[in-house]
Amino acid sequence: MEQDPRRHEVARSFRRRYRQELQAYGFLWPALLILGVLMVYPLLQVMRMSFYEVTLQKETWVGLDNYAQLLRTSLFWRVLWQTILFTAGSVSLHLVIGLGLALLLHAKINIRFRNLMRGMLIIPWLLAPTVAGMIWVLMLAPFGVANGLLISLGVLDLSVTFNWLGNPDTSLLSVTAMNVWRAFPFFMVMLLAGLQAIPDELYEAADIDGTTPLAKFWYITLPGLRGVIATVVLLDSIWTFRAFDPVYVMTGGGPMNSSEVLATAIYFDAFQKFKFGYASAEAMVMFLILFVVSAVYVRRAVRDIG
Amino acid sequence: MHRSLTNVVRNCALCVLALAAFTSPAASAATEVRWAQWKTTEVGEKTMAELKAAFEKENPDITLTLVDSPFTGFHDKAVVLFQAKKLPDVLLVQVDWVAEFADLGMLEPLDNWIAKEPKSFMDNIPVTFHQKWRGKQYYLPIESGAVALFYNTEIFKNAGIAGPPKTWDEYVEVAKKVTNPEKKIFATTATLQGEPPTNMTYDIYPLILQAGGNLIDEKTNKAVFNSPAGVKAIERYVTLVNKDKVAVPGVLSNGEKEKRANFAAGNVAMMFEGPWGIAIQKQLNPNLKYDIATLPAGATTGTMVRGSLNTVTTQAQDKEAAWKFVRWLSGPTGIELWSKSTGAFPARRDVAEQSWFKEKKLFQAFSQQMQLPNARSPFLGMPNAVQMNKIMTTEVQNVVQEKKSAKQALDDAAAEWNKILGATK
Repeated sequence: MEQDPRRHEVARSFRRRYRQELQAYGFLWPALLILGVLMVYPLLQVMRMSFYEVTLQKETWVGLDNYAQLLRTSLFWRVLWQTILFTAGSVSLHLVIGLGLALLLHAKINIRFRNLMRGMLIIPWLLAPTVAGMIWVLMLAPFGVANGLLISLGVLDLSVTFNWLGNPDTSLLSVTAMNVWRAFPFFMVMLLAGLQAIPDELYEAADIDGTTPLAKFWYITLPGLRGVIATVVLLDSIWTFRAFDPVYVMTGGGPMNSSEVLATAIYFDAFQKFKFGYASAEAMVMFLILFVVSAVYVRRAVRDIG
Repeated sequence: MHRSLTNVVRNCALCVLALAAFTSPAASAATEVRWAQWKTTEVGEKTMAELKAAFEKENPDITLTLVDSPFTGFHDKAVVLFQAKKLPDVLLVQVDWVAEFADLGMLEPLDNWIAKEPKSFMDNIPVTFHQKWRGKQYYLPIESGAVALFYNTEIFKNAGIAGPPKTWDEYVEVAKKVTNPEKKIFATTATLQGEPPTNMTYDIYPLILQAGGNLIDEKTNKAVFNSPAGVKAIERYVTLVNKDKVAVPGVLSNGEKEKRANFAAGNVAMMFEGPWGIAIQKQLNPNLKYDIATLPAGATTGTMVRGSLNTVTTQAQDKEAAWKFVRWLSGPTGIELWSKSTGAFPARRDVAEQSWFKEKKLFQAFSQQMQLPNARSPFLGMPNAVQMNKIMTTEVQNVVQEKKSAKQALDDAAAEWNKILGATK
């Protein structure tokens, strides 16, 4: 049987034209395979399980029931709101404290002192979230350092021992405070690098024009940091929204779910209540929210590269 | 060339010999029993090796293989092994896992084997561990322990108190007398930490029993703690915390760790704890002066009993051999050996009455507590004990925070428990 010579020619020309791309994909496939096995497969599994009632013995198709149940459950909405509060509080304070310290470290002060401060201020970022959490649990205990300090300052009465983690009104606030303390150095370092990239000439020109420090900050510093701020805020929002360790270690989500966030709720629903389908639906909601935030980040990154 | 040929022939011969050795009738005569447990990491390899040697000496036809895994994650690992059809022959479990594992089809009922034993075999096992799940006995204990009252003799002496409180009223009287917030001395550490929700064993469930209540009705398999007795127990607890203020501050975040540390530091007069607490206190503060008594009684006595239990799995290769090991370790020889070498509280009356154990003064209160009415282990009837304990913890937290009345909180908890109890087959 004779083969069509024109088809061979087309194939040869395709290979010639896309040789580089084909080679690149050839090198990429092991990484793509690992990514597929470790990320795409579990993601698809969770997506599939969210449409089933899953126990250790059997799986039953329930369609959108898990999602409907989720929307009807007041605890889910409360947990989602607490996660938003935790994320918004943490990220905004990271930005304010990180920017403030970055500005201080960028000031023209003694170089040795500046370097020493840079090294010391980064220490919280070096601690594992669980270690940082345990330190704060001890500090916030009724007879811990925090209450001792407040008593010595006269804020608290000697007979009062405030229970920061055991009080539903302050438990989420306490976990947020720990998270702010642990992660502000990331903002500080990134913003300091951004500040160093702003040309001094802009400030010199502003000085000649007699511009006030506030106007310089508003019209030179902030626009110069816009790109860095957008990137770190997006990344931090993603990391904080899915944070598990600080809450689990410090309060376990309690008391009375007052510090529960989505990540801990998913864990407890799956591994304590064994409601794997319901927990998968919660995880999908979390994934969708993070997907939107990630899409903004990726879009920015691609535009910057372009 | 000649030399290498000789080597090849020699190696082949060795391989054949090795294969023959592995498949010979002599080698396969001993049946292997694999025992999955978390104790090796706790009591050491030497103790476990002695146990293995003692069992194999009495049962030369069985080889005991110790499959050790740390306690953290042991439960989940057992479930995964079951799913993979690789569950070992004998599985050590906690009281909280029996109902759950039995419902999953992981455990073999032991009733037929137990029926062939002399009556004295089960009679010597505390009656708490006769509790069946869905009419079947799935386990035998290797160690046990009831919650009793640890009290600091120094604090008692300084406050002019002669001995431990025997009733609820005496307990309140003593608690008020010893509490001195300025010196940071409190009567007790109330523990309502929600995660892990292990504190119900010590703080709440014994109180409900002492008030004359019960947790689950075994006949109807329904939660019954929202009775007037249950309400009275919770109200009493909350009064001690909120009104009398005899507990260490931080009730909603205090857990077992804080409770033990506070008692060891000498700041707390009384602590509800099991026999495992003796070794913990020795480690935390060997110089602490304390004694142990039975829990104060309300309308009646009552305590929680916990323990480590052996089970035969449905995936056991040789179930008869597995039963032989379970029977031996929960029999008089095994329990005596286990208690002597590990320091655990014996799960047999005939061993607990032996002179060597009677000499251990601190342990005697637990023996008495086990013999008093209502020494129970409701966990054996909980299909998801962790979740059920968490529900109860959250509801009692609501009462302490004055967000719900005791009756409302217990009604809500009962409704949630009944959903779990009703959902299982």
